[in-house]
Amino acid sequence: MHSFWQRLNALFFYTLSVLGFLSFMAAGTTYWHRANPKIELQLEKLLLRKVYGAGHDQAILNLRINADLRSVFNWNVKQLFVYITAEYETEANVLNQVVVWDTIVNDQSQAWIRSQSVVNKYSLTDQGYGLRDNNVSLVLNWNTVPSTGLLTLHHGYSSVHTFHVPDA
Amino acid sequence: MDTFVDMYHTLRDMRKRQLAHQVLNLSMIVCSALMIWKSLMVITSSESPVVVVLSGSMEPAFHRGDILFLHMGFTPFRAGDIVVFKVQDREIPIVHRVIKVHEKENGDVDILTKGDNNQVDDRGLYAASQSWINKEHVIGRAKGYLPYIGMVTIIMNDYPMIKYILVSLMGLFVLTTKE
Repeated sequence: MHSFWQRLNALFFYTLSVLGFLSFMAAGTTYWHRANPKIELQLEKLLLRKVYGAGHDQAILNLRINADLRSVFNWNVKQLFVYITAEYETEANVLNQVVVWDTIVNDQSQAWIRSQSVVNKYSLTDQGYGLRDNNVSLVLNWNTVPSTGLLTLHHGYSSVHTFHVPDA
Repeated sequence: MDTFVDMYHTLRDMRKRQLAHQVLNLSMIVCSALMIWKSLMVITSSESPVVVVLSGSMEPAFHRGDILFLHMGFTPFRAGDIVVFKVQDREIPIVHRVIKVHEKENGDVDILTKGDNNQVDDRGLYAASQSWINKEHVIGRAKGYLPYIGMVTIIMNDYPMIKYILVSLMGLFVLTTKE
């Protein structure tokens, strides 16, 4: 005896499990995907100015970015959140990471980022005056947002640009 | 309608022992759901292993009604992590991205967050005079993503009647299902 509701229930859950299996396969098959990103970061200009009253300096950067992330895309990538961090060490902190620029890439054809004289979107400020006379590294990172599946972070540590901030 | 009449008859004709059996069945289902949720909390070390995205502040990555799977993670917090955090006097946790990390030698960490779709960072959302998010505010890090499914809970929260009707219907079905 199978009533209408039992049939509907069975159909519903069968559809759900097929959908679940398909999304699992879509995400799982990308495990073997290998990306070969090419990244080049350069600092063109640096300006350090004191922010009175705030208790910290503010650095204004001009960046040249050449990042070819087209190979990162596969069928389960919905978007890449690409961001550049400035990383440095101070007496107060063993690690400081500040995102200075970011962009959202929705399509493989836009995944080759070539920009010059990019001014930092978010101001590079320390919690104190730790930027002065210090080495700062620029790292390009990206967060892969899938259509379904795992959210992963990737760091371009192999092509880091390090510069020295002068003692203002 | 016939289904419900049938259900009523099955319930009425049940003997005490069988009724008890069915009620136990129902409570088994409820308890297993609770057990699964609690075990997930232990495994992910997060007090809320699954969250539904409620706002568009992380668009176009996450839309309202998408589901995120959280895990506290074993590595220290880094810029770019998507964290879910609680702010004092705000009932609903916020899902945003870390844009600043200042880590002390003893492992204490100051974090600043921002929604991808917001123009400014989250300082305005934090409690008064709070400038940073610390470990104790974070519920978990978004590690997995599943679109759309959360719409069900959003609809049920917006129209509680649907929730009550669905839950009681499911209860009825379980109670009256014959072997």
